[in-house]
Amino acid sequence: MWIKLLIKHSNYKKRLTLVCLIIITFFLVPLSVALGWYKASLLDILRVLFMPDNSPLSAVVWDLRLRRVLAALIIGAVLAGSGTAIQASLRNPLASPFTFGLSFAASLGVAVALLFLQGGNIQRFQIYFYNPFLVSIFAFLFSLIQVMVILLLAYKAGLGARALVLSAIAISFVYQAILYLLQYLVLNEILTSTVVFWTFGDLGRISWSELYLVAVVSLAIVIPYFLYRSIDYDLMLGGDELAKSAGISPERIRLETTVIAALGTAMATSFVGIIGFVCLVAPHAARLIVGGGHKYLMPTSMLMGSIILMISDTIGRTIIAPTIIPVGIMTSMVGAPLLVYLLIKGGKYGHRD
Amino acid sequence: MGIEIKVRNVKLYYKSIKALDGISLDIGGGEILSVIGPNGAGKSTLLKVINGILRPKIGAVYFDGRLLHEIPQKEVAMKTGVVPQRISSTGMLTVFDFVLTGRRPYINFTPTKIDEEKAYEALKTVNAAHLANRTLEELSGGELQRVVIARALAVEPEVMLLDEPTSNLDLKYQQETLNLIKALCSKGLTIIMAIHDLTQAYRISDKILMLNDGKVFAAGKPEEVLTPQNILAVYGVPTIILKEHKIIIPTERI
Repeated sequence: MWIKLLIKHSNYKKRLTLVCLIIITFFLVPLSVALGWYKASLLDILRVLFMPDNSPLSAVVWDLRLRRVLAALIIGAVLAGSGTAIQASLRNPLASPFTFGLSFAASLGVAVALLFLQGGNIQRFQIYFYNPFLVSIFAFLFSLIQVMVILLLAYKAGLGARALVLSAIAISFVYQAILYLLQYLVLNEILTSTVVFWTFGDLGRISWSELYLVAVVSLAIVIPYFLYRSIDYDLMLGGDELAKSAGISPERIRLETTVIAALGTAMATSFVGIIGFVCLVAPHAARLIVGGGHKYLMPTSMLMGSIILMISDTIGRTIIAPTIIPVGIMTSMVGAPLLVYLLIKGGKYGHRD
Repeated sequence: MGIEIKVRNVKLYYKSIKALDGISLDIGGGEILSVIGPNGAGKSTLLKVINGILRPKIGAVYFDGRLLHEIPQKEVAMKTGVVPQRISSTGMLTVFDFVLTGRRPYINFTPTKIDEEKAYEALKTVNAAHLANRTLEELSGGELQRVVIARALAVEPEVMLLDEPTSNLDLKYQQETLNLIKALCSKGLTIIMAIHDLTQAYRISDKILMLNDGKVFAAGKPEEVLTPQNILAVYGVPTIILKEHKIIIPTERI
C-alpha cells in the first residue's frame, strides 16, 4: 500500500515541477521584456504591454523586445520537443535536430532560397524575406533530405548511437561547405553578408508575420503531435519488438517524428538562423528533473527549452549592452561542452551501441 | 480465459533463407508449450509469427479459431503478452512507466486510473512493486526480467509468448520465473516459450516442440520428445536422462 502512495507522491512531484515551470515561464516573459538597454520599471512595462501607446517605451517593448521573447518561447519549445522526440524514437540520447544536422541542412535550404530565388534581402543590417513561405519551404525540403540520410544510416547501414551522431556531424560540415561554396561563387557582398548574418542565430530578426507562421505551425502540428505520442515514446524506449507486439509500428513513428521535428526545426531555422544545442540540453536537463516517462518529460522539456532560450537571449541582450550577442552564439557556448560531456559519459546515459 | 492457437504448415523465408519450413502446432488454455532447438533453429521466428509480427509466406496461424492476420493488430495486442529475449533500457524510464506501456492497446491519449491500477497489480504479481520508482538501468538482470514479465501481465493477456525467459538469470531467479510461469498457466493462460535449458523444459512443459533447421523434428509430451536419440540427433550431444527426477545430463566429460 505504501508503494502505491510512493508512486502517487512521485507523480505529484512531477506535476508540481511542471506547474512551477509554467509559472516561471509566465514570469520570465514580462521580465525578459523589462530587461535591456532601455530601462523602465516593471510596472511601466506591464502597462504598455496591456495598453500600447505612442511612447518610446511602447515602441521598444512592442517592436524590439516582445517579439523576440515570444519567438524564444515558441522556438525553444519546438526545438526541445523535437530533441526529446527524436531521442526516444531512435533510442539515442545524443540525438537532436542539431546533432543530426537538420539545422545545417535547413540553413543550406535558406541560403539557396535567398541566393538563387531572391527570397530576401538585407537593408540597414536587417534581413528581409520577401516571401517567408518560400524560404521555410526550402529549409524544410533540405532538412527532409537530411532526415532520409539519417534514417538510411541508422536502419540500412545499421550505425549505432554514437557512430550515427558522429557521421551526422560530419555531414553537417558538408552542408556548411556547400554554404561557403555558394557564398564564394555568388560573390555578391550584400547577399553573402545576408547569409552570413543569418547563420548567427538571432531571435531579433523574426517579423510579426513570420512569428505568426511559426506559432501556427508549432501550436497546430508540432507540439500537439509530440505530446500525443508521449506514451508511444515510452514504448519505443523498450525496443521495436515491444512496440510491434503492442500493435504500434515503430518505423512509422520514427518517420513521422523525424519529419515533424524537421518541420519544426526548418521553421525555426529559416526565421531565426541556427540555434544550437537547446534541443540537446533541454531534454537532458528535463530528464534529470522528472525522469524518463514522456508524459511529464515532454512538456517539461519544452518548457525548459523556452526558459533556456529566453534566459540566453536576455543575457545576450544585456551582458554587453547596447551590443546584442546573437542567441545562437550564447547557446553554443554552453551547449558544446555539454555535448562533449555526454559523449564521454555515453555509457552512463544508458545507450549501448 | 486462455486462447486456442493452431499453427498449420507455416513456411517463412528471410530473403532466400528458409527460417521456418512447414511448422504445425496446437495449444490450448492452461497449457505450456516449450519450443526447443539449437541456436538458429527458428524458435524466436516462430514466436514472432504467432504474435503476428511476421507474416508467413505459406500456411496459417489460427488465433482463437480465427485467421491471425485477419484480426486487427490492436485486438491481438490486447490478448497477447510478450516477453522478448532482450529489451533496451535507455532513457531513464521508471519501472512503473515501463509497465504502464503494456497498457498501450487500451490507451487512447494518456493512461487512466484503471491503467495505473492494472500496472500496479501486475508489478505486485511478480513481487516487484517495491521497484516501481527505480529506473530500468538500475535493475539487476533478475529484477529486469520480472519487470518485463509484469509489463506483459499488465496487458491482461490470455496468451503469453516468452523468448528464453530464464537465460541470463541466476539459479534462484530461474526457479522463481519458472514458478511464476507455472502459476500463470494454472490460471488458464496459454503459454508458449522458447527455452534452451532442456531440464527446465522437461519439468515445466505440457507439450514440447523440438525444432531443427526450421523444421519440426519431434513434437508431443516431454517424455516422448526428450529422448537421448532425439537430443543427439538435433544437438549432437550424447545425454542421459534421469526420468524420476526429470533431469537431462550431457555425458561427455569436459
